[in-house]
Amino acid sequence: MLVGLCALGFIFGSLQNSARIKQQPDRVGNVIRFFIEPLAVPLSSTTRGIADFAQGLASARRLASDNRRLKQIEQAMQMYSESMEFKDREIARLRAMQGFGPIVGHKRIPASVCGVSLNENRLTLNVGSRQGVKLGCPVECADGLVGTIEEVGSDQCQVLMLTSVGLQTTSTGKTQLVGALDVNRNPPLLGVVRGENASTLSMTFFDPKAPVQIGDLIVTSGSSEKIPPNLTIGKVIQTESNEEFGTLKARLSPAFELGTLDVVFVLA
Amino acid sequence: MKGVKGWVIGLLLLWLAGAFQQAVAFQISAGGVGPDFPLIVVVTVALFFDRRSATVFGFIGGAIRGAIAGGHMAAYCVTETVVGYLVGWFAGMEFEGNMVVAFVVTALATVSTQITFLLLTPRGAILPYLAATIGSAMYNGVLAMPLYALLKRVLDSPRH
Repeated sequence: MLVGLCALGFIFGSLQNSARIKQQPDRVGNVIRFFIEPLAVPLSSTTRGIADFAQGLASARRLASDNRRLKQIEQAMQMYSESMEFKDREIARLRAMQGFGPIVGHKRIPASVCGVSLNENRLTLNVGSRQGVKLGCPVECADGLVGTIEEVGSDQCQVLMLTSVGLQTTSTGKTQLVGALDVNRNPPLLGVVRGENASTLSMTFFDPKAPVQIGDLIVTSGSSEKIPPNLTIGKVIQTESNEEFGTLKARLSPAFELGTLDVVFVLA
Repeated sequence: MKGVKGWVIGLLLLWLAGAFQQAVAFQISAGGVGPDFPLIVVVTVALFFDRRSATVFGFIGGAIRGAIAGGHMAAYCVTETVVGYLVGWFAGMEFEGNMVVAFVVTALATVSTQITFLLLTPRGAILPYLAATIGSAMYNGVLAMPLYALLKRVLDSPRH
């Protein structure tokens, strides 16, 4: 009996070997596994589940602290990601500014915004008369015209933003309007831009039937004394004809965003 | 020999042992030392069988172990057949069966199986293998004790 069963074992072994050599399935093993696996598979899942549950109970405190730590890391990562996006946008703006071409009769003085007065619509820049800044010089950012210089110190200056209603009357008492063109029309439509409130500009066209369209791009005309042509001012968001006065008024969304102003050029 | 009842319970235990070997053994092994459920069942059940039945039972246990392990079927079949034969022969001697006997016999069977297996399928690192064998022998012996107690209750008592 013993010898016979051992011989049978060797026969199984040789069958298994020959099957492997021929790259065929091992029939004897497969038959046995066929009976074992229906129990083994759910048993494996069950024991894993039990082991996980037991581990969870045993290390609940550690898992809870791990969970808190991971949530903190996730929050930090989110802040990092937002910060990265902000920096990316800033880099894009700086690259755009780096690519600005020369403006005849003007030189660009790079400056950092070191203060913002929201109520007065003023920015403080870290350049002044020693760097060549003069009263009335326009200030541009990557998106377009920001405003004009209102006060100049030796190493600092203040910019009155386009959105300020006060831009109409400067500190010197002169009315200063920004000449502007609607460049989406042919021929370009001429008008003047002034601040209306903190977030919009007002442009007056002298033809009440001027074919201004919402979305039209408005740039400086160059007719102002110190402001060169082709600086982006903003886009038309609303139009309103006033035939009694022979004008057409358009509301503009300014090109610059106050929240992103960091580095600007003073066009001296 | 407990007749059909013994065989039914034995084969059922072997089936469970096969499933546990495939699904659970690796989860409860530590430091390379894990249980050998089919061997535990073969030895423990063989203690209740006569020599002939124990030999056949050992052969079936070896075939199951070989199929699950995917190793050399002949090595597993031969070693466990021999173990079944020896345990059956031992069970035929005059002795008082108890859990300690089950522990000792299972541990010795594990060691002899592993050494026979080592001879049939030679390996390079022998010392770690022998250390793991001793660990497995203890592990299997401990697991065999409650199984023996259960079988003794179900199958009445060993032949003596």
